[in-house]
Amino acid sequence: MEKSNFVVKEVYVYGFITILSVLMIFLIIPTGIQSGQPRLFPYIYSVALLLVGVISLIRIFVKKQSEQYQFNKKVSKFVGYSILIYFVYSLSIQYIGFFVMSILFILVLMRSLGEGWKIAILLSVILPSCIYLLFTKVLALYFPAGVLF
Amino acid sequence: MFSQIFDGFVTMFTPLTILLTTAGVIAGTLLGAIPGLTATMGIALILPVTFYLDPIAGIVMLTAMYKGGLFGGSVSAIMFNAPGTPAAAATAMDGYSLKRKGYPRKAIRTALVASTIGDMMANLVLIFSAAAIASLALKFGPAEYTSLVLFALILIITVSGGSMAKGIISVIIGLMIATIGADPETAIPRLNFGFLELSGGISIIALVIGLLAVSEVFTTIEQYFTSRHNKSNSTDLEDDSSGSDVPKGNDNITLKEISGMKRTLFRSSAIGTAIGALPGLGPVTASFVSYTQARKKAKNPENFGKGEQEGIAAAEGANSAVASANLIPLLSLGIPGDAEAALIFGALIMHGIIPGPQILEHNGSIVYGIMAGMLMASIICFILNWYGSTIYRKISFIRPTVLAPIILVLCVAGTYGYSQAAFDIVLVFVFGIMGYLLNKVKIPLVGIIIGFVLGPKLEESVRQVLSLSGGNITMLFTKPISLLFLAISFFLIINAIRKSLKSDNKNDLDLPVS
Repeated sequence: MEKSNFVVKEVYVYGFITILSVLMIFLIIPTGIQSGQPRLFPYIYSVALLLVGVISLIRIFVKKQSEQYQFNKKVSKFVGYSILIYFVYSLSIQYIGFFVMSILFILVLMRSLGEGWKIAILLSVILPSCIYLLFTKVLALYFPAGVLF
Repeated sequence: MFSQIFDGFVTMFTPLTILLTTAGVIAGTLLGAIPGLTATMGIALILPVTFYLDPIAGIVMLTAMYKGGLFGGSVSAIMFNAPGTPAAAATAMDGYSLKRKGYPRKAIRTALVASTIGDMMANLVLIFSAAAIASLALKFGPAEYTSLVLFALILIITVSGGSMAKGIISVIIGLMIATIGADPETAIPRLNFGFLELSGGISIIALVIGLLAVSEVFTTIEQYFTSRHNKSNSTDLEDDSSGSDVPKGNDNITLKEISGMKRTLFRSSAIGTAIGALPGLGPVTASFVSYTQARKKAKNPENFGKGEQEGIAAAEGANSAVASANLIPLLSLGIPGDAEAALIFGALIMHGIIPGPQILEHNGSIVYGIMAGMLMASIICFILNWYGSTIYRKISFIRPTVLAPIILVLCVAGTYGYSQAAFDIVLVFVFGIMGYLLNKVKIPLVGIIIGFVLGPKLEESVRQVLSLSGGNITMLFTKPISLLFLAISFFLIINAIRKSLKSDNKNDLDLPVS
């Protein structure tokens, strides 16, 4: 295993699935759904998920074989930045407005991914303008305006 | 039926439909030709737009995009040995070798001819068989539907490849997401976590755009930086020139060559149609099964993998036939066979057309219009790609760092344009991250989408069975059609377990213990 990678073992995946299904059965369904018929299917699915998780864990422990998923730290940094920028964009769009936020989003994301200023500025102006005009003028649909637009 | 087919062809043939079909083919081919991007993502992106279009024009555009995308995937497979779609992996085996011998255009046009023949044949089967299957499906009651949905889910789990446990997890996640919103019988809120916006359930648009498009953007960014990190980025492919200089005139497919491959073309189309008609098997399975069969039957099997035209034809004919054939279970039974069919299912629902046995009765001319449009899409795909076969390689060099922001902004615009709900933009983000992480740990995303689509039907049918039989589930075993589906499902499970145990035993001998 390279030092530049971090590893997620298969056992963690099934462990997470098992914990999630236990939470569903004992916490989320009892608090989130009124008792009676509406609980039937969420319970059936959660129990099925629990069974798959537990059987898979037992199988891993018996076989002593677990697949590993590698995440390169340097590469994950770029993906992480992209996710963070997209997260901020998704959340703030309704408060700031689609047009302005899309310009900022394209500019910041392209720069963080290593693109030059020229293409970043060009795309950040052209794309939101085209989408904005298409949706508002042609399709008569409106985007979240926010404090700007 | 024939009058409905005629009506469908007449209704479909409008300038708008022709224009949108052409646009769909071009967009699908471009997306399919970019390794890492797929037409599925394109369909997810334009799905909301179809809401504002006539149902025939909108849905034909989606299927045109799918057909274009399948062919586009073969272009990058042939040119760079980088299949633009997983279905094109079998095409790459001989396509890339033929290209390296100096026959790129011959390879692309062989793929195109096979693709068009496979697609047309499956289209015709779809047109003439959908009504027969639908009339059989009219005999279905809640017990038959329950068994059918269970069969479809089990089929998807057992054939999705990789770990069976992960296939089950994927389908259950989809089924669980489908329970969010309100109880179908009592309308009592379920699992809305205090968000009023979740009371109506999760929007299929937010789910598919997030899971398929957004997650794919992050995966593509990761692949791009990984290849840069490994100093083997895609620009290396640009330098990968043909092995020899072949005169342009020789780099073409001839009628004699097509005639020589007629058995392979017919067999691959038949395999693709049969596999496409079963939910969950998809174009990847079809292309590899067909390729293996073609090699078995070939006079010179040793040429396969070294640029054999029949190898390209076998893979392409089968994977393209799936594109049409997977609409057979969707339209006649309401069971989507793969992610693309699930997206088309979503588009039909958006227009108030409910896929299932009564679809032809209630919306016959629209459905036959869509089928007619699919035939037209095949023809347009052939004409455009025949002449455009020399210019596709350029688009494969668009950097993911330029494409990523474009696609993410389009995802937001498409989602908001459809639902006009800012909450759905956040949902797209959540499903995007979920899809990216699940992809990393090899949990198939298609199972989630199909589980989500079939979940309400399963719940409704099971609860109807329970009401009708006073809580006695044995009704499922007393109806012959229901029993048949359950028996096949049981056989599939046993077969999958047997295969899994066999592979475990093999791994015990082969793999190092971690």
